[in-house]
Amino acid sequence: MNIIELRGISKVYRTKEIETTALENVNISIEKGEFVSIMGPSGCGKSTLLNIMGLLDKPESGEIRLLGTDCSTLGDNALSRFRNEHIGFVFQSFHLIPSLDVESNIEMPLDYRAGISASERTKRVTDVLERLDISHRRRHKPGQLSGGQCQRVAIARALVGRPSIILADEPTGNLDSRMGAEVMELLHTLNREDGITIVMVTHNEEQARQTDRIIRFFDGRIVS
Amino acid sequence: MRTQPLIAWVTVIGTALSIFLIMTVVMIESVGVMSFSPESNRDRMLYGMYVHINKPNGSGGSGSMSYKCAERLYANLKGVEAISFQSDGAEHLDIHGTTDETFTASVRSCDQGFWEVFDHKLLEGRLFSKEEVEAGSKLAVVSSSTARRLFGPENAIGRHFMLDHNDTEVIGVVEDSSPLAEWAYGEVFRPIDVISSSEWGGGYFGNIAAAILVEEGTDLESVRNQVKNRYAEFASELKAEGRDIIYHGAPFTQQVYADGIPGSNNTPDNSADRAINVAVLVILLLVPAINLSSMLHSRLRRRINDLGVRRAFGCTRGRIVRDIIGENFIVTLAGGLIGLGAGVLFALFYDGVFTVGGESVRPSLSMLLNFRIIFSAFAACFILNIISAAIPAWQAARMNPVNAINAK
Repeated sequence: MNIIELRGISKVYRTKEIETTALENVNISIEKGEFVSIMGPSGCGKSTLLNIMGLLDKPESGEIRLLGTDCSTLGDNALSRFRNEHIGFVFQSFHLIPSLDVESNIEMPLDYRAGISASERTKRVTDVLERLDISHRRRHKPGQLSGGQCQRVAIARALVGRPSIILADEPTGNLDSRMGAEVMELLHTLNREDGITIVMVTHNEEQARQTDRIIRFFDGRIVS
Repeated sequence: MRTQPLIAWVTVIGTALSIFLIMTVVMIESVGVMSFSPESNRDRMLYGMYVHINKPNGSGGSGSMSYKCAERLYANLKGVEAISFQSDGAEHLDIHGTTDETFTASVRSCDQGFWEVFDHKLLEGRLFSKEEVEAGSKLAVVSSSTARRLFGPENAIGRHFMLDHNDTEVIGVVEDSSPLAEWAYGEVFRPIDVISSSEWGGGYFGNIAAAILVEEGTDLESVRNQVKNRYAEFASELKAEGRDIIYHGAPFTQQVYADGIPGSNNTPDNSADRAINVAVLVILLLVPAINLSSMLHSRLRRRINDLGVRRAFGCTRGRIVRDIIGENFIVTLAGGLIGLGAGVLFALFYDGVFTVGGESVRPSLSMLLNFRIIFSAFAACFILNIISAAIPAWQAARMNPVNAINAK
């Protein structure tokens, strides 16, 4: 069963002077439980594709179906709810909120979800803290953590809402090779044990080869 | 506040300054109309002060009423709980008791109804009666501080003092009141001599004013309409003498009185003053709101990544707007509390904020810290918050999440 289906996706960025085609008639199908890498040179549209897949950006044309839902027709509030319930994001620069401690950063997605009691929230946060081995850092602010720890917190934040899909934009791009390997191992574990579908943008050929499938991009088009 | 302390503190101080200025204006306005002892029922008060009667030769006259005229217009109205005929202001007369001191006191001449209209707190003795007023008795009720100045620490009841060259007996002592209670204030209260009170202008003019306490639940307008009808009846009676009485809207509510009565021969119309007051309040709100708005904008620009990440994880635009307005309200409220405190201290200790008859009067803390003023401060904070936060919050919520996340 396809959990992600993109049909005829195009995206054009316009300024007063120029028009840039970021994506041109892109068709992608990703099955539930797949771990897919997207590769390509800088500026080829990988991140744009990930943003459209994550419902953060809208395409010029085309259809996006996630978990069988046609997301192209959803309004802003419905898109927010869909992201909250089904998608987790992991960014290259972690994007943790510096004023919040680790626990509050991880809990943040649950703030936007109705029907979760305070005790359930605490339980879920505690579970992911333990699972990612960062319980001892729960009261620390992001500024007090190493890059690897920050990315673990970011993964915990993506995981706490129990999403079906994790979209990771160069998750190891700001980490050294050892920490990068640890994060990759973590993502593989989530994919293997929890059945979470993961789509990862990466420049790292070795990491991409460890995934189920590689989609190669060039100039806004899939080349292989 | 923790992440951007400088901007947050500038916002708090800016808000405090704005609320301070607004509250000073509001306090000056409020003290004129809100109830406080002994004028505890200002919302039910009506005041009759002047008559304007044109003479047969065409010349006009206006001024305070004679007792006869005041009775004709204001006595026995329906829906009235109590009425006081009293001198049209307090006189400043020399008084002398058993201490060596001769001093000038604010002396109010009034009838027995005065004690029903105004709730002076009786500390000792009693208040004068209708019979004593009609008999023109040389009695007085004095304020507690006046009693001390007249007689020292001794009990004042039954003691005599010289008031306007008349030997006068003290029958009661009441708690001191504020001169801001312009109709009820006095240091010495004596029965008004209704028989020999001065009259002129055909017996229609004198030195009497009427303070009317309307029954609870009765519409003030219904009482004013009765007076208007009496003016009409009075006008037909006066026609026989070739005179004409001109109605200027009396009796006046506390609000009209506080706004200012523009003389005895004019109809109060304070719409222009009201408009100016509203304009001043709007400017006092708008100018800081624009500054606060730009500061909030700058605060949000630094947090734009956070907002983008929140949007990615499911925060709706509405929630972003609510959160920003809510956070800003806490900062505005903190500034508002500081501003209110500063405004109250300013009003309490700075001479000239409140004046009566050109003299500076200091209010009491209870006059300033009441529901109306605190509610006004809260409302001003809320409006300031909405004006200053709405546009930045809306702009932040409308931002594309991708652009927000990638903003540098």
